[in-house]
Amino acid sequence: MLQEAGITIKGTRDGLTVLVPSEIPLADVFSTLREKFQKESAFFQDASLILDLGPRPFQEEEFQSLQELFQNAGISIKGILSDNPITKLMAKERGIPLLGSPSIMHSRVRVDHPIKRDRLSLPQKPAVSSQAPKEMPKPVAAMSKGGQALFVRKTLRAGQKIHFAGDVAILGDVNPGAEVVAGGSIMVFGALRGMAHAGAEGLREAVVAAIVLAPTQLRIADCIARAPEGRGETKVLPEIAKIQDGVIVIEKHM
Amino acid sequence: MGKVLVITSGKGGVGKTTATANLGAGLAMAGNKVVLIDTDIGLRNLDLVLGLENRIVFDLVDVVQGKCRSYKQAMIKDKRFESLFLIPASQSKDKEDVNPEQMRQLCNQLKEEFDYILIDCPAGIEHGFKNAVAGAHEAIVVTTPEVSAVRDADRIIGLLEASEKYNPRLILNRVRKEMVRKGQMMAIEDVQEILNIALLGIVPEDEAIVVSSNKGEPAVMDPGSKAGQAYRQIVERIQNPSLVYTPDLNGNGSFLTKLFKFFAKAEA
Repeated sequence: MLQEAGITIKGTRDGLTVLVPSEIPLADVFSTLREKFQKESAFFQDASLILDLGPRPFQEEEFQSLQELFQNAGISIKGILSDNPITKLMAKERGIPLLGSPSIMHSRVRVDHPIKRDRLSLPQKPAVSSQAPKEMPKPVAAMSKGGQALFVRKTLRAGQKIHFAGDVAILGDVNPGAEVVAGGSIMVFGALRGMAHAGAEGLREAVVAAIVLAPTQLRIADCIARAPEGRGETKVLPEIAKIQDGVIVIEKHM
Repeated sequence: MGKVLVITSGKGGVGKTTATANLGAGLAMAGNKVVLIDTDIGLRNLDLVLGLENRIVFDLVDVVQGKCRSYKQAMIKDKRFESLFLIPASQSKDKEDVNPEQMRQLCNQLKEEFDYILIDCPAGIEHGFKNAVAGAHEAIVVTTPEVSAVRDADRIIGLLEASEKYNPRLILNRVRKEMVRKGQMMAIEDVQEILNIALLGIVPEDEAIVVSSNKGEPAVMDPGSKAGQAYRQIVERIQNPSLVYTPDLNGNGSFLTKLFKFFAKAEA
C-alpha cells in the first residue's frame, strides 16, 4: 500500500485502487496524482486503476480533468467506486464503469443543485434526493459488548502498554513509543502520539478519539492508518477516528 | 544523612558522565562531602573525565565482591577539592558482577558519611540501569534536544515513575540557542511536551567540555565556560530544592495544562 499526501493506492482483489479522501482539495489530488504517475511511469505503464472517490461529488469538469490526467499518463480507468449520487450519475454519463453493488449502479438521481464542498467536515447529506436514504449516523461512542471500561489516570510513556478487552479512557497523554490496545474504543483526554489499536478483536465500529490526535500509527480492527507526513505543530483540535467504507477516516469532533 | 542521586538517561552519549563529574565537583566546591560511583562496569569513563585514572587500585566490583576490606580502599580522593571522592567501575568485568542488592547496601553505608552520593548510570535499561537506581533516592534524567534521546528519556522516566521514589528532574544538555531560535533544534517546550518532569537546568553546547574532558578538569571549575556556569547553577538548585527554575519561556507544563489554558483563553 502506497500513501502520499493522503492519497492511498492499494491492491485489492479487483485490482489497483486509488483511494481519494474527501478532505483534500481536488487541485492537490490532481497534482499529487500527476506527480506520482510521472515519477513512477514505469510502474503505472498501461495500468488500469480503480478510483475510490468516496462521498466526493464530481462534476462534469472535474471528471473531464480526471480523465485527461489519466489519459496523459497512459493509464486507463477501470472503474469508479463512489457513494455520491452526483458522481455516479456523471460517471455513467461519461461512460465510466461504476463498480460496487448493483443497487448503487442503477439509482437514478436528479441533479437539482450542486453540493457545497466543505473540505473540513464529513460528507453532508446531499441536497439532492436519492433513492436510498442516507443512514442515521451510528452512535459515536461504540461500546464493546461486555461493558467494562478501563480508566487510566496517567500519561503513558514510551515502552508502556495497555491491553484491555473493553473500552479504554486515558486521562493524560500517550507518548510516542507507548501503545494502547483495546477490544473496544479508545479515548485519550490528552495527546495521542503513540500507537492506538481499537477494536483489536475485530470490532469495526470501535473508534479512537483524542484531544490531539497525532498518533504514530492508528489501527481499528484490521485497518491500519498512519499520520500524514509533516504534520507540523500540534493543534488543539479534538478529533475522532473511525472506519468508514473500509478505511479509517478522521473527523473533527465537536 | 546523605542523598543518593542517580544520573541516568537511557540514551548513550548525552552527557551523564560529564554531568556526574561536574555536579560532583560543583557540590564539593560548595563545601559538601561528595562521593561519585561509576556503575558503567566494563566501559568506565568517570575516572578519565576527572583525570583520576592512574590512581585506581580497587574498583566497585572489588568492593561488592569483598576483594578489598571496605569501600574506603577503593575510594579515590580528588586532591583538587576538599572532599570529592570517586569509586571507579571495573574496566574488565561486566555489569552482572554487581547486583542491585549490593548497590543498595553500599549506598546505605555511604549515606552515613557523605552529603551527596552521585551515581553515574550506564546507558540502557537492563542490568546496569537496575544496579544504578537500586540505592538511589532521586533521579536526574539527562537528555539532549533530539528525538531519539527524548524518546529514550521518556522510556527511562516511565521506568522510574513505576516506583514512586525517584522524583525525576530534567537536565537538557547540549542546547544550541541559535538552532533553537531558527527552529532547527527542539526547544525545551518541545522536550517537555513529551517528558513533562521538573526542570533542573539547561546546559548549552560548549567546546570547553571537550577540552575539559580530555584534560580531566571538570568545566565547572572554569569560570569562562558557559556549560560550567550552567552546572554551577544546577548545583545551587540541587542544594536548594525550593529554588524553582523558570527559564525565560512561555512556561512548560503538561499538555493538559496547556489545554486548559487554551480553553480559559477561549472563554475569556
